[in-house]
Amino acid sequence: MTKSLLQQLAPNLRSLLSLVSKWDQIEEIRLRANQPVVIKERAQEYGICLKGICPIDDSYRVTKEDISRTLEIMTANSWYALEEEIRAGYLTLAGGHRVGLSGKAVMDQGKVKTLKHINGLNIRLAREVIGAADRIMPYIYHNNRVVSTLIISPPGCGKTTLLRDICRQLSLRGVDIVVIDERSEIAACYKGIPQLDVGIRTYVIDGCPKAAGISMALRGLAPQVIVTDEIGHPEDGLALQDVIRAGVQVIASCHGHDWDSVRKRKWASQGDTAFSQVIILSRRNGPGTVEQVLKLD
Amino acid sequence: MLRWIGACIIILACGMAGVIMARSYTLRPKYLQDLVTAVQLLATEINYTRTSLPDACLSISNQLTGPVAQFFNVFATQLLERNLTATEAWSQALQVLVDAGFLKQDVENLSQFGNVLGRSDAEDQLKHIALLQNRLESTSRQAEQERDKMVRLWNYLGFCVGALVVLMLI
Repeated sequence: MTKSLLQQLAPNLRSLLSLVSKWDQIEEIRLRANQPVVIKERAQEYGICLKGICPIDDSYRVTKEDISRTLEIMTANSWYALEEEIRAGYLTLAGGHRVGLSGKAVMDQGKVKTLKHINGLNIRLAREVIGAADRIMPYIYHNNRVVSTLIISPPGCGKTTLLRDICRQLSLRGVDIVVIDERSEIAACYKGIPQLDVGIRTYVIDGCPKAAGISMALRGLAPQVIVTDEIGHPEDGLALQDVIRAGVQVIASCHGHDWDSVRKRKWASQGDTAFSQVIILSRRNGPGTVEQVLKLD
Repeated sequence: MLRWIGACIIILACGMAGVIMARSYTLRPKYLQDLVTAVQLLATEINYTRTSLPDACLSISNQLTGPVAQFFNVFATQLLERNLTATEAWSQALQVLVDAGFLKQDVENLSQFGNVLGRSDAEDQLKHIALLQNRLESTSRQAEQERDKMVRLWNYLGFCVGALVVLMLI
């Protein structure tokens, strides 16, 4: 995993980051033009220099050339092939790692056309946790039935990791799944192939808006369950209604702290009946801490 | 008798030399036409399927033969190894064309294109490709005209020189 990531960096940065020996705790690598490299773990941050790991003040300063060269490699010198992703502000690399981009927005009639003068790359390492959903699977799947579930949590609590493992585990139990992976975070597809394990019975519609993806799934892919991340757009509520009408179960996630605040949102007014239960997560005992399981019917 | 055989050999040898000179003029338009085709294929890959540059170039090299195919193959291979920038890889691949006898002007047109390839959105890439295509087609037409003129000239010249040598020796 690490090797594939290092291959995607400019030669300078590649040799520098090869000095890191322990990768399992690293969550992000932050590269900003003319600023020190910052390596972020869950509980600490540090830098890297020619001698190895060091305080951030002594960390190697990224040059603009490092950023452009890295970007050239990451995009396989094919900026035009990744226009949609660049417009959305991120790339997905082989291995499932996600790279957030910062730079100057080029506008066209009030909408972002593309980014130029990229000045920062935020590399988030892909982490799949096999077994993340072990504790909640009995709630999701019992009596040979999948229960439609909404997972609510603040950012960084492991919603996506959980959804991914739910897909994998449901697949093992013989359930046919379609993942609508609008932001390429659940399956982390690279050139169409999921880089993370979402199960053997899972179709992935990558980079597609939820409403359109759900429609495609219901028409052609015969799912028993639809899984999607980050419900929040008002249109998502209508799409969820289609899912209910088709008799398909849905497992989704959304940002929030509790059900009472989430159910007041616009999409919920049309789509909340899609869910039979709500699971609330936090980071209290680490990402993926289950705070509450709330039955809705 | 021997003199007649000798005379024939001289005329044939000079004639063949002329044909070989003429041949170099037939290859250039063909190679330029291959380039025009390759650039058109690249435009299609970028415009319709948004294929990544290394994959597009490999695909193009598989559809053609000769130095143009080799050029795209070398370029794609260098890109996939990730040690050179696109501009560096392009320059290195251009050496294949130089070795195949492309003129300085042809190589210069391509060299300029290498500076912009893969660095902007599809719309912009297609504009640069259209510009290159225009230049290549114009050069290709000139090369064809030159070929028509020179092939005939060298073919006749070869045999005529051979005949002249024979006459001088007799």
